[in-house]
Amino acid sequence: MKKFTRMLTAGVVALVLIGEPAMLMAQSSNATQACAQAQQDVQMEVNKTLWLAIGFFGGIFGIAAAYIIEPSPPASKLLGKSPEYVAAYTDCYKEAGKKIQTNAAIKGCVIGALVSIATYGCCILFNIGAAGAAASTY
Amino acid sequence: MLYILISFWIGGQFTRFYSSSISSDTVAGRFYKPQYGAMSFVIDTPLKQVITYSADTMIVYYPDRKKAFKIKSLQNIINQNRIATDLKEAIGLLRKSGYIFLRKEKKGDTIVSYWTHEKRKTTLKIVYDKKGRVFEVTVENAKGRTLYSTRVFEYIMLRDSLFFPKKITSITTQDTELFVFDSVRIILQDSLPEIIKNPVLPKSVSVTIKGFDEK
Repeated sequence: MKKFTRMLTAGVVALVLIGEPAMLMAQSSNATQACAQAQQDVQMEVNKTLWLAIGFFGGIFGIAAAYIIEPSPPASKLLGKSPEYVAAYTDCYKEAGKKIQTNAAIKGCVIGALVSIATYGCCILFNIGAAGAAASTY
Repeated sequence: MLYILISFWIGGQFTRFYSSSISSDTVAGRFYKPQYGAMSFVIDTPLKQVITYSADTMIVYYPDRKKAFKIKSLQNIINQNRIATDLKEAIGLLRKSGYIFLRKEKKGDTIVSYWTHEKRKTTLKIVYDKKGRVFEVTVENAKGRTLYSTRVFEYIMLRDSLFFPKKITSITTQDTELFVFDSVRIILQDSLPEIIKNPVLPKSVSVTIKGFDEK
């Protein structure tokens, strides 16, 4: 009887030891799948052109806005999903979305700065040219 | 005030079929939609889940597991999750999101209306009929590539000049979604489930906040 109890206990322990990593693996694969899906969805949902324009016109404030304003996942992507999936999906969606927004805003800001520098450069060159022309007439 | 504005809701059963290169699933339950606003869901399969809204917050609640998420954003979460089921609502949403009307053409019994978004560099086409029933919405990028297409196959008449889609398919470059609605009817505010009417979570529920004021 003692032997049987010992065997039964060993069996239960073995099952727990086998079952726990399997459960952890299932949860981890659920989170990996949620993250992959979120990263795919956010590419579609976040408007890069809009954030490029915000960075272009807003400069540093545009970049700050892109960093602060987190995109939120659409409800239809969370329908029927487990709490673990929703947690992983939301985090990955916000993180990936913020990255896309910020990168687009930085690009817009750099383009805006280059355009400003080019405009100022042209104005300075034009003024120097005009001043030179005026001096040569005297 | 809200009670007066949202005089009636539309509710019924729904089944959603989803498929992408990463996953595919089928979800079924009930839906509740104010005349103009985001649709709330009470899901029965594959698990018990409620998705509803309170002001600027989306609530994802699991009554069986006593867990909930409150998802907040500085972007308008309600507008993001609105499903426009008639022309007036669709046009209102387009204008709010920055689309500008270009032109419209009459094609047989339907009217095709074209819109553009200067910042997004996209054009949008809506096909609708004289009763204001939208049959197709297609978004194309500057190169003429279809980014998003929604088609409504059938309408249910709820009352004079009030229609609701029976089947909606949405196809993007990455996934396909089909909503099938059944037993659709007009519901008065008082007949709504408590969690939809008054989205306050019980104190025993563990709430996780996801959003700009995440702690």
